[in-house]
Formats: sequence, C-alpha cells, structure tokens
Amino acid sequence: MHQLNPDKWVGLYADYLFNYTIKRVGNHEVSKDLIQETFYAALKAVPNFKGLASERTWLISILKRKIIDYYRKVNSVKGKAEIRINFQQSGTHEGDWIQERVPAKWTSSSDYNIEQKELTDTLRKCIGKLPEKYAMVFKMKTIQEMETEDICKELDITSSNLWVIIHRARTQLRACMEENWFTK
Amino acid sequence: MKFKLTCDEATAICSKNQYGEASFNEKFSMLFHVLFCAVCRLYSKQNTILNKCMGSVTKKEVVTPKLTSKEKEEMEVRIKEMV
Repeated sequence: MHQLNPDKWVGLYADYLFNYTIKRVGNHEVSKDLIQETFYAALKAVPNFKGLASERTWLISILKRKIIDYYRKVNSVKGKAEIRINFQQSGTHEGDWIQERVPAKWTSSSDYNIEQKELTDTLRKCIGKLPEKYAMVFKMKTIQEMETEDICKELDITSSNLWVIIHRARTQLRACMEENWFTK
Repeated sequence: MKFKLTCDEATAICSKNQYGEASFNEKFSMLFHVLFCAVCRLYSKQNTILNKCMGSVTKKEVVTPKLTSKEKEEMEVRIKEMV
C-alpha cells in the first residue's frame, strides 16, 4: 500500500510536475499555479486516497484534470483573443481565400537563413501572439512533437478538432511572418 | 473521398501534411487542388519554409525554465497552512 506524505510533496514532485506542465501550457506562472492547485486538490482528496497508485501517479492524474480544466477555460474565452479569419465562412464562396488575406510573394524568401537569430526571434514572437487555445495545441504538436493521439487524450479533444486548430494557428503564423519578416 | 476541395480545406491538409499525418486520399485531393490554384500553391511552399524555420525554434526551446527554490518554498508554506 502506498502512503501519502504531503510535507514532502514539493521537494519530491514539484520539479517533475512543473516539467510536465510547462511542456503543455508553456507559461511559467500558469504552470506554477496549476501545480499549486493540484497540491490543494490533492490535500482535500487525501481521505479518498486508497493507496493503489503511487503518490506521483496519483498527483499526475489530478494535474491532468487541472490541465484539461485550464484548456477548457482558455478555449471558452471568446472575442479579442480570436484569430483573424482567412477564408470565407459562408455563401457561395465558402472556403475561398478572403481577398485581403491572400498570401503575398515573399521577397526575402530566397535568401532566408534558418540559422539566423533574428528570424528565430521573429518566429518566436509570432508564436507568442497566437491566442492561448491555439498556442497550446500548436506547441504541443510542433515544439514538443507529441503524438496527435496523446494530445487529444490529454486535452480531451478530437483529432479533427486538433487539425482545425493547427491549421488556423499555422495560417496565422504565416501571415505574421509575412508581415514581420518575409516582405520586409 | 472528397475530390473538390475548397482553399480552406486544401490548406488544412497542407498543414496536416507538414507533420506527415495526411492520408493518401487527402494528399491526392490537395495536390489536385494545388495544380489549379496558384494561391494555395504559394501557401504550400511558404508552409514548408515555415516548417524549416520551426526546426530551429524547436531545438532551442527544449531547455525549459525551472521552478526557483523561492517558488518552491512558497508552495511548501501554502501546503503547511492547509494541513
């Protein structure tokens, strides 16, 4: 049977939980808060702990729930944080490019150098501008290189959901990079 | 299988394909669309360039920041308050 020692939680698991969280939410403060909440929720649930899983597994399962809740929260934030629409949403031209959002030819695309620090910085800035619900999925898939199936499970979304988000994120990124780098 | 794609659908498949996860049918429909659509052809090219750029972000971003010892101390205090 496994035992719980809340006094030792921070020392034993804070780094592990933090690493797990930052890979998914990408933000230091948010990760810290989620872990703190996990510890709170765990403390409240101590009487229900049956000792079947190890302390760490048990804490992770609570944290996973917290991450889903967090994702749902950012996902329901409407308005300003939305992405710019690139395609006609209805009518006979549904799915066509919106005239002013059509990609432009990139003037400096022929001599781009992917090792260039400025390019990487610009890209990072553009990723930083993505609304959080897009950024989270995009980063998990592109930067953490997680499997589609795992992301879907962890955020409780469908794969078609995931690909719509990735599509919008990438279209937004492309436009941002065009504005700030490739046509400069 | 859906043969005629809109630009929205074609570019969506293009993005999926950047991760190597578009199906054969999807790729086929996309290529067919791109054959006749110069805008999506350009998009597709740029998407590939972006992917290469992303590679350099990926490698550097793997170093994740850690919790400071001060932050951990604060957490410990809060837990003790609750117990």
